[in-house]
Amino acid sequence: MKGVFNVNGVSVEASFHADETLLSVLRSHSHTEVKEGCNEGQCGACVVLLDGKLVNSCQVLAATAQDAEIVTIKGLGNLHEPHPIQRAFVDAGAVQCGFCTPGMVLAAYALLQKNADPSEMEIREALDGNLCRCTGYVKIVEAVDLAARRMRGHV
Amino acid sequence: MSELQWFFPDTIEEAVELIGRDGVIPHGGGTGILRGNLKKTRGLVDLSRLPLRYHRKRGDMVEIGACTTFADAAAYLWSLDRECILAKALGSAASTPLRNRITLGGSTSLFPVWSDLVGPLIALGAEVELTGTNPGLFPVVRYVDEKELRKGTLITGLRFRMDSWASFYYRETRTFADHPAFTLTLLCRKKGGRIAELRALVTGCTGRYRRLAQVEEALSGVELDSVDPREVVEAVDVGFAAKNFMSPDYLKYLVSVQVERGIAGLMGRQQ
Repeated sequence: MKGVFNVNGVSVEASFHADETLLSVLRSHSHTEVKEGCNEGQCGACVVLLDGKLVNSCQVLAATAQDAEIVTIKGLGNLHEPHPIQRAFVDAGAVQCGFCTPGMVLAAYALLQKNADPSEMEIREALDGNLCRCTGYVKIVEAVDLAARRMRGHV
Repeated sequence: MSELQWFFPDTIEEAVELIGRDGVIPHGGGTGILRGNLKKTRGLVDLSRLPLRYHRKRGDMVEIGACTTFADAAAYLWSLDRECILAKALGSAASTPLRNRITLGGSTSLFPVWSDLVGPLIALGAEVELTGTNPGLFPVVRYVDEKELRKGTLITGLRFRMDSWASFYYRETRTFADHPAFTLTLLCRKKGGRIAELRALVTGCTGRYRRLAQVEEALSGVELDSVDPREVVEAVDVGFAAKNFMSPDYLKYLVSVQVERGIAGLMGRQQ
């Protein structure tokens, strides 16, 4: 199959198999910032925003994502211009091995788009699809809270 | 190269014609399909262009389109009634990114062992709207029980009466991200200091689901003050196949514990 995928505002024409997942298509077109973890929708390493909704790209068949707006972590910020959530993750010490971080940041972004002032429980619920095997989550939750406060202009 | 073919119909009629073909199945969110075996599938019919993503209330009836995601349905039902058992179940199913993808129609038609949907739907007396070979409205329990009803049909929506039930929902998981070994749904309606009606249903057991009829009978009409949740446990009659790390007896014990806790909670007692 051939299709057009809109990734981080850029249209990409791609060839892919009919049963290929969005994760596979993204990674084979240089979007290796989308991490491949469990491939079962359990770990959240591969999450992207699909038309604004947080989804596991390993659980999306690529054919259904054609013409949709896809945002990966690179669409939020980069080393030189990090998104406030990325900055907060660094400042709060929420990054260790970094494998889960793109998914965590995107999950936090999806939450803060809907709820600018989340409680700790709401943060934990929003991150329920993202596993981290390093930090124990405390610093990650603190980072999201810090990002929320900064984005509201309270810090 | 895969021989799998995709179809993107713009009308329900077109979709129905396509899924009537051999080896062609509907695609809602795709999460259930990806857990299955696509080798025998010749075609996938993407339903995203069809007008099946809606939720509305008409009188007492709530109607939800088949392509509505768990997340959207849960948020809508939550806005109507914080006690709604279906909102509780959908809101606790899977994880945030998966709830943004799993659809009510897909989960009803596949009824995976980890489903958080069908137990509450059956307990609520919900109906499924079908089009295709067997068009019309049918009780969800019939749709689950009768294989013939499902052949060549497409779920277009679900509906149920939004009654004022007190509710208890439990999903047995080892970790929050795990698939539930079973789910327990309890609905209770109280009137004049008595239990007017109780509905109790377990999924994940042998036979896929089981109505705890003896529990329902034991409590119906009983004065609230005289309900003893520990006695009710003796009426729990449910069987399980062995599952990972859990024997059938252990699973039945876990159901009994949750029935006791659920009934106590519905009676407003400390647990």
